[in-house]
Amino acid sequence: MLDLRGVTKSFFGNQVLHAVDFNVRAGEVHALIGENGAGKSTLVNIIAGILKRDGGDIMFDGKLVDFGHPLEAMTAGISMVHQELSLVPNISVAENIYLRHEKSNTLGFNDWRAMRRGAAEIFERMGVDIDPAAPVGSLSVGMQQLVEVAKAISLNARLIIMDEPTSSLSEKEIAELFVVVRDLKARGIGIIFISHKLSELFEISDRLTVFRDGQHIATKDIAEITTEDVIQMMVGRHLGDLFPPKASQIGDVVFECTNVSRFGYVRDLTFNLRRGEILGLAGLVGSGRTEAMRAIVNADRRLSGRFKLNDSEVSLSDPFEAMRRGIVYVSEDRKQSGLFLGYDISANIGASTLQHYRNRFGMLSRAALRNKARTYVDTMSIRLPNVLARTIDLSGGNQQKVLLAKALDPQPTVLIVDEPTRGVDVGAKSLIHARLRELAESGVGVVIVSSEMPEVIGMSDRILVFRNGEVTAELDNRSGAVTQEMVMTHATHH
Amino acid sequence: MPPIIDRQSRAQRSAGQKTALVQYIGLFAITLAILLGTQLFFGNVLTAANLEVLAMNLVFEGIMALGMTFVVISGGIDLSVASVFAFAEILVAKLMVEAGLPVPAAIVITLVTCTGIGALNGFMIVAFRVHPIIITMGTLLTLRGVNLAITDGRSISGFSEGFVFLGSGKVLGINFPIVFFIVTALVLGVLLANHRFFRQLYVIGGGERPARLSGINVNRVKIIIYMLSATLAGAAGIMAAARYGAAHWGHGNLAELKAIAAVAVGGANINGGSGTIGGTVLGVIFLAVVHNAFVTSAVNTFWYDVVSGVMLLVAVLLSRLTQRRNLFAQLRIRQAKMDQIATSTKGESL
Repeated sequence: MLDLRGVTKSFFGNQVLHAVDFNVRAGEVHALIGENGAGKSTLVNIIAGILKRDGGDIMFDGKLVDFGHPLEAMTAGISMVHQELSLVPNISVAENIYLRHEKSNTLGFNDWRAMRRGAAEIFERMGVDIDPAAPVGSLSVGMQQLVEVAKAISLNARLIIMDEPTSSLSEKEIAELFVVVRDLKARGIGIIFISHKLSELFEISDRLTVFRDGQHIATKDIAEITTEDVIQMMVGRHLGDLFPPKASQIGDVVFECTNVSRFGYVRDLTFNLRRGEILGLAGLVGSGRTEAMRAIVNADRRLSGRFKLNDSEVSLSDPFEAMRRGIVYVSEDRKQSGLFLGYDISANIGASTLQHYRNRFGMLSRAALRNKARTYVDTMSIRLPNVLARTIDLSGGNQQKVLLAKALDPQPTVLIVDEPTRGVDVGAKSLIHARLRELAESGVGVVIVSSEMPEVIGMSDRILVFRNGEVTAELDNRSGAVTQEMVMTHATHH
Repeated sequence: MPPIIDRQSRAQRSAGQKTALVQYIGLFAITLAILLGTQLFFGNVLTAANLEVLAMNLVFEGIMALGMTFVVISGGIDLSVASVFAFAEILVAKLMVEAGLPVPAAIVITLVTCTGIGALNGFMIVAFRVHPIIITMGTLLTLRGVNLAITDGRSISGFSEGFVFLGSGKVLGINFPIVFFIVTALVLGVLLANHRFFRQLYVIGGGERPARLSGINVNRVKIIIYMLSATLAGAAGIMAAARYGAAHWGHGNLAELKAIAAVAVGGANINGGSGTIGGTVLGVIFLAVVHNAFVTSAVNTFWYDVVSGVMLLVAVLLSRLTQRRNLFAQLRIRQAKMDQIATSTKGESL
C-alpha cells in the first residue's frame, strides 16, 4: 500500500537518507530498526508529512503523493503515533481524539456528546476501557499511547506509524498495546513499528527492515532471521585503526562513587575510575547515562550518592564544588548548556577559571586570557574566521574543541565528557579522540558518554553498559576485544 | 483478550475536576465573605448605588481581562492593552470632535484601527519569534508616546448626548459598559468552551509542537487572538471616553497589569494551556470587591494596591505549587516504571 523509491533527505548539507527504498503491505506490521541516527525517524517523518523529502517518490494506494503538512497525510489515511506524545494534557480524551476533525455543527460549535460517543465506540472496538471525558494528563503513558492509536482510528487511518511506542511502557502495557496492534492488523491496517527492543519486534512484526547510516540495509521476513542477524546488520562496519591506542598504564583508583540515584532516572550506580583510564558509558538514548553523570556533580538534584576522590570522602553538593575539586563535567549540549555562543573563544575558555587571569591590580587581564586562548587554538587546532570571532560563528567541530578547552583549563583530575563528538566532522573527531587519550595518559581519569557505539568501544579501556537507569554489564576492553554485539546484548531488552 | 481496566483514570479525573471547582468555589466564597463582612461592619455596601460604583470601578479592566484570558491560554501575554485603550479614547474623540464624524462612523473606524494594532502585535510575535512580553511592551510604550504627542498632553472633550450613553446610559437599569461586559463574557465564554476554533488555544498553550503536529495553523490563530484582545481594549476605551466625558492619554495607566492579575487570580496558568472566562470574571469581581471594601471601610485606599498585589502573589504561588506537584507525580511514574522493568528482567543479565 505504501511504496517509497529512492527517497533522499539531508539536513544542512549532511545527508541522512541515501536513496532509500521502503514499502509496507496492507495488514502487516513492518518493523523498522537501526542505531540512533540511522535515519528511521527521518524516514517516518517524511511519510507522515512532517518533513519534506529532497528527492524520490512516495506512492500510497498506487497514487503518487506529496504531503506538505501532517494534516494532508492524515486526511490521506496515514497517522503517526509519536514517540514524545502529541496529545494535549489539559483537554479531554475525546477532544484530543477529534482534534482538527471535530464533530461540530455548521457554526463550528463542538458536539461534545457525539465526540464522547464516537471515542467510546472506538475504545470498545479496541477492547480498552478509557473514559472519553477524562483529561489526557490524568492517564498513564500507556493509556495515552492507546488514545493516540484511537485518534489514528478515528481518522480512518489505513497506515499507522508507531515511533518507539513501547519505550516508556511497562511489560503489562506493552502486552495490552500488542493486543490492539494485532486487531488493527487483522482489519487490514498497515503498521510501521519502530523499536530498539528486538524481542518485541520478533513477537509482533511480519517483516523487518534494517537501516544504518541513512541507508536501507535489508528487508527480511521475520521468520527468516535471528536476533544475531539483525544486530549484525545494524552494526555492520569495522572499526579499523580510527582510534588512538588503549592505555599504556593504568594507575590507582582516583574517583569512586557509591549508590548514586536520581529519582526516576538512575538507580544505585556504583563504579570507580582509575588514573590513566578511559571509562566508556554505553547504552541507548534514555538509559540514564547522562542523568547519572549530571547527578554526580549534582547538576540535577540526586537522591543519594557518596563519593571518594583520591581516597578522601567528598560531598559534591553542586557543580561548583565538583569543579573546584577537579571533577569537570562537559555537557552533551554545547549550544544550550556548554558554551556562551555570543562571546569570543577566550571568554569561553576562561569561563570557569577567570580568577587565574589577573593583572597586578587584581582585575581581569584580558591579555593573559587571550594568550592562553591562543595556546589552545594551537594545541586543539581550532580554526577561527578571525581572532575576535564569536563562538556562534564557528563550525560544530571547532565549537566542540572550544568546549573541551574550557573543560581542560581548570586542570581536571576527573573529566566526564558527554557525547564529545556529536555532530562533528571526521577530522575534528579524531583530534578530540587523540586529545582525550593524551589527557588520560597524563594521569587524568576520563569518562566518555557516547551513543555512538564504535566511539565507546574504540576509545574505552573499560565499558559500563546502561539500561533502564542501571549498569547491566561491565566489560574489560584493554585488549580491544569488546564487540558491538556484546554491548548491544546488554543494552537492549530480550 | 483481557479488556484494559482503568479505574484509576476515572478517580483521577473527578479529582482533577474537583480541584478546579474547589478553586472557583473558594474564590467565590472569599469574595462573598468580604462583601458581606464589609456590609456587616460598615453597612451601605449592598445598596444599588454602591454596587454600581463597585462594578463601574473595574469594568474597563474587566473587558480587557476577557481578551487577556484568550491570550494567556494560548501561552502569550498582551501588555499593550492599556495604551490601546487610551488610544481608542483619543481616536474616537478626535474623529467626533475635531473631524466632525457621526458617532457610528467614529466608533467603527476606531475599532478597526485597534484591531489593526492587534494584528500588528500578532504579526510581529509570530514573524520575529520574540517573546510577546517584549513585543507588546514595545507597542505599549510606542502607543503611549503617540497618545501623548497627538494630544499635546491635553484632554479632548465635548461629546454628543448619544455618545455619552455608551458610558453612562442604562439598559434595564444597568450601566451600558456593565451590560457590554456581561454580554461579551457570556458570548466569549460559550465560544471558548465549545467552539472548535477557540478550543485550539488550549492546544497551542499546551505546547506548540504538538499543536503543529496536529495540523493547527499556530501563527494564524495567534494573530487572530491578539486582534481580539486589542479590539476589546478599543471597545473599553470608547466606552471609557463616554463615561469620563473626556479622552486623556493617561487614562488606563497600568490597566494591563490589573487585567493580567484578574486572569491569574481567576486560575489561568500564566504559562498557557488553561483558564476559563468564568474564572476571569470571578477574578475581576474579586479585585473589584476588595477595592470596594477599602473604599467603604475608609481605610486609606492607597493600601488597596498592596492587598491586590499580595492576592496576586498568593494566586501565582498556588499555581506554582500545583505545577511542582504534577512534576513530582511524573517523576514518580518514571520511577515506578523503572522499578517494574527492573523486577521483570531481574536475573536475566549480570
